[in-house]
Amino acid sequence: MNQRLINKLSEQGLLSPESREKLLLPRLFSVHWEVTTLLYLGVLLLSGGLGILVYKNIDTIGHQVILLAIGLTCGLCFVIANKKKRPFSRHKVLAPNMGWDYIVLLACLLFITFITYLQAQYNVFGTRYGSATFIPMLVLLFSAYYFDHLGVLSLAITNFAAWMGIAITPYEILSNNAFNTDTRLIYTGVLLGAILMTAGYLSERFDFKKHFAFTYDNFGVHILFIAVLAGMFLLEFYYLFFLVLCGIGAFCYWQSSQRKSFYFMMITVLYLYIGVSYMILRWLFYTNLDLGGIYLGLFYFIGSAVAVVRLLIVQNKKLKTNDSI
Amino acid sequence: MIAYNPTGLDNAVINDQAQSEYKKGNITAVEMAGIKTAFPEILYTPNFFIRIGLFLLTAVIVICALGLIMLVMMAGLNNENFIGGLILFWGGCCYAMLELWWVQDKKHYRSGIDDALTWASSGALLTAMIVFTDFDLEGSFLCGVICAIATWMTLRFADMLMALTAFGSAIGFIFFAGFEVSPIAADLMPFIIMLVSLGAYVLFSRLSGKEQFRHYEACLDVLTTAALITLYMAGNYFVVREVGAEMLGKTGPVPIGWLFWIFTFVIPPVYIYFGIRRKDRIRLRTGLILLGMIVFTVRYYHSLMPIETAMVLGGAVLIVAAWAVIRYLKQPRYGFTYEADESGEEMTGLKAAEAIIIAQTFHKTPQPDDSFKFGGGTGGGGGATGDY
Repeated sequence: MNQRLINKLSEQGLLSPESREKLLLPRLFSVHWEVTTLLYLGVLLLSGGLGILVYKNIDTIGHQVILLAIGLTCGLCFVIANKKKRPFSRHKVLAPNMGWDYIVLLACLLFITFITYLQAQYNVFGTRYGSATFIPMLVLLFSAYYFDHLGVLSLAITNFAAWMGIAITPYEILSNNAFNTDTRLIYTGVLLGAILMTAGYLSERFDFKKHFAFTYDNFGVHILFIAVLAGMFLLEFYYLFFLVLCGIGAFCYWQSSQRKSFYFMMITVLYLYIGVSYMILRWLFYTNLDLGGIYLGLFYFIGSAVAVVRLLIVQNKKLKTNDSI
Repeated sequence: MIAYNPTGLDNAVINDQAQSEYKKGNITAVEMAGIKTAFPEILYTPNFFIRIGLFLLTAVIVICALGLIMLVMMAGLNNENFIGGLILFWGGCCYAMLELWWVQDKKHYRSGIDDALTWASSGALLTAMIVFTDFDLEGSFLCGVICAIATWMTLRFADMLMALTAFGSAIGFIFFAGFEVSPIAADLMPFIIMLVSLGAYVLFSRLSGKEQFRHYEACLDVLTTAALITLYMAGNYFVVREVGAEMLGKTGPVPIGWLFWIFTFVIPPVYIYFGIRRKDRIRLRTGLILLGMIVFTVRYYHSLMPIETAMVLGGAVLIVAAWAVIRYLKQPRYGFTYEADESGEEMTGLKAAEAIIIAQTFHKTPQPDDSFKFGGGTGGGGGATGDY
């Protein structure tokens, strides 16, 4: 709050002298996000660089030294992280300090590099059942709960998805999944989405690391909706997928109004809108109305978008009483 | 100049700031309630995510309605001027709806609907101009038109992205006009742009904080940042050399290259220095981001070491430096602290967003069928884009 505003409020008698004093105290300048970003970039560069370094030196004597360095750094990070860590609890555990978060992250990333190397060079886990991806995933998942780390949890989730053969990171979810050439991916996506949504639901239901629910649901909702929509667009029995879509939509709608989440509400409404519009357009296309079809389509979009705008405005009002993300 | 109800804007700011002070425990619940009744919410601003939804839906409506009009007027569509006129007419309709209906009557402010209509009417006006001139515009003229439209929209609706568009197109206008006017101006272009940016920076930072421009505070912040960035970019060796090669066909080292190397190295630390000295977040952050540009520029022309060694060393240096700052600021010193300003609730949201960024940037993990592919290959260019 700036000086001007404080004066204005206290002149109108809206601020008690004590609050005025508090507000006028000189503020500290927080460099939190600047330093955190540097730390994050450092972890990104270091773990990436070490990965390439081992890869490039694979046939020389140097790579064992590098590997040793990675192993030692990784172990050191885990030891530090473990020493400073607060005791485990089923609820949210705050990090002892902000730097600690990135030590945990670095430790986990280096561990993955290490495991991958061992697998590639000595084939320690064998080649069956994708265990080379599954075991790091388990380690990540355990670390996420043990250290209470959302970033590691989301790494575990993307690894789990990779193990199932699907990409769920924001950039790759549409570009890297070839739903049209490999329709099995659609079912994988639905299964993965269902698993993640269940995990989110259970975390909340049994109050076990409740704050992880958002991350589970966020990945789950997108892959689930996208896979079901892909099923509608590409498979013959599209109407079945449409029914599934409606079911999921109803569930997400219920959940988002329970949690008072604007984000999930908006996503649910938009995905459902895409699904419904596809059904209408498909029907218009197959009834051969020529120009009339195009007219009807345009009228449909204008009318339905106006309706959805109204719906969103009403939902906004409903959720606003107690807002969160 | 601003289209929105000024009292409404003031009340929104007061409520926002009081809310954040209330969350930090600096004002009591009774005071908060008093402030709320004394400065009631006049403007309609929905949640940010609802705003995104409303923006997309409004865009759908605008585009489909234009399609419908075109369909009705299909007979005239072989005439270019007719199409241009139609788009212009539609842009005018959008603008009238925006001003008279949504802003004045419905009191929408950053609701997504007003944002979408702002961009739709500006886009339609620009498209109509391009159609009228037979798609044959000089670069400078195009930039001039964009700048004029965007400036008007910024003044009316105080949209940050619009302000950025206006500034970018103004710089573009000077750039292209210089090349069209004379070769001397073209040679002096880096200095012209640097001077203009410096002037713009001084102007915008003076205006920011003045009471009569309080509704443009956010726009002015964006503009000062943009001016600092163009000031640096115009003097950056890489930009000068590559743009010179592109526009004038000059290859090889730049004449008086040493001067541009000095600019390249000196400007970001100067920004950071003044940022710390004056406790100015804009200069501090811009300087930090531009440090990445120094690294990029040097690496582009002089390969001092292989990329992975540079990444490991750079990463280690960054971690150690950040660690040192955190240790140093354990107790606040000289008015600086490492503690975040955000309340616990805001932090929860930011942490969730950070988790998604982590998943995106570190996702390259081993796949079962790829026998040997390590992660981190995408990390090389991370220098300038990490500010989230």
